[in-house]
Amino acid sequence: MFDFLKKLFFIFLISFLEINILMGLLKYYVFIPITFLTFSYYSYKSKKQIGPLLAFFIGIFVDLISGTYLGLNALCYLVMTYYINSYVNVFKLFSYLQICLFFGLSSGMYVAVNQIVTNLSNFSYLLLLTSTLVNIILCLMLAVIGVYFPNIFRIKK
Amino acid sequence: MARFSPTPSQKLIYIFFIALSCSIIYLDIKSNSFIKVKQSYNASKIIGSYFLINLTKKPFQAVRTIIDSKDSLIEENKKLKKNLENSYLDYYFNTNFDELRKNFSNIDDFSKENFEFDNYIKAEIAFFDPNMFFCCTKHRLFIKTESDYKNLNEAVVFNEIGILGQIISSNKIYEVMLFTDLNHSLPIKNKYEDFFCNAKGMGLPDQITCNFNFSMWNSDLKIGDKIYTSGMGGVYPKNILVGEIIEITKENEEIAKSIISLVNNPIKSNIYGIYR
Repeated sequence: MFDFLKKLFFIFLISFLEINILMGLLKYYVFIPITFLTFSYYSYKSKKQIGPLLAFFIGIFVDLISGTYLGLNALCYLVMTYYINSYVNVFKLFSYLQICLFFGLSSGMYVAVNQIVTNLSNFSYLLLLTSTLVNIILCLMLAVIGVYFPNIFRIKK
Repeated sequence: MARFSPTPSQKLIYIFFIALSCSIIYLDIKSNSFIKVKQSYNASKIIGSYFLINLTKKPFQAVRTIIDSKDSLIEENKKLKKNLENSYLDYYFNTNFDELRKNFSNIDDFSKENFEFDNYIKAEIAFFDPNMFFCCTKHRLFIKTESDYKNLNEAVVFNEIGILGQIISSNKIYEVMLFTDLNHSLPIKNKYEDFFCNAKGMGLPDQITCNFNFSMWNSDLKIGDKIYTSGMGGVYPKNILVGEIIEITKENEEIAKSIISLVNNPIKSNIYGIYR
């Protein structure tokens, strides 16, 4: 329970950062779903399998604190968790570049789903493309940092 | 521990939750069913932030307000004290230095005329060594003005109680030789102007001395007589109270020595006037 609350609090902080700081990037047609990426990375790196129940509740919690339609983030998190759990062993064969592409494109998909559900009338391809590109670059940068500064950015096994 | 791909039963759970999420989104979009949940969350967020601010920010703000108000009170107090000292200085100057002002009987006469009155320069203490003042013969006061003035040598320095001495050197900070300095000489007289003398500093804080030939003056000097500046020498204005005689001793058959206790002391204020 305490572990779950800790996760919720961490997600809350990340979501706060996303809402208050990274939303400012929207005027440059860039959206970095940092909460989604953090959760995806956590479910990718976690020793235990992240179950659908946890993904669902964390998604609902993010929906609640971010003010979007209830269930939207839950859906995205569930799908992402399912894919990660399904291909977690396959990822071991992939290079960092491929994994970064996977995460970047996933976040692009997340942006697309978000736009379709919340803002269909103003759907912006520019936002989608730039966000995907920026997210891929961000993932690559984080991977490089993770390689060269391993003790800080790696989850202990 | 190795991680395994979801089993068919787990996949069913995933499908169930995905379907649940989709239905929740649908319900939220179509019928706004979860508005109460969202409102409750928003209300609790507002209340929580309000309490958090009250618990954390407000006490600090209160302390800050108290400190600020205390600081502002201290500042105001200093300002008022300075203004008060300035007004005392103005009063002293107007009543003692400016003979022209004294000649007007009332304020209307004063305002009708368009005389250019002499004024004085305000200065603040820059440095004063009280140890030197109480122990030794060299009694100096260092003062500074807001603007830099030239040619202030021999200008008279006074405070709200009386005159103190004269400027002997000026280089941004002005050095004042006090009456009590051993090298200082002050032309004095008594009230009836039947006694004149050059009083010298003794190196003591509040006293100056004057040696005079008593057979020369028809004055009946006695202890307690008030002593004023005589205006001779051209440095100090005339008729300004310096002090009173506290001791008269005969040195020999012709020469007597009087000791004058000064009315003023440089320690009594921090603001000074310079008159030239």
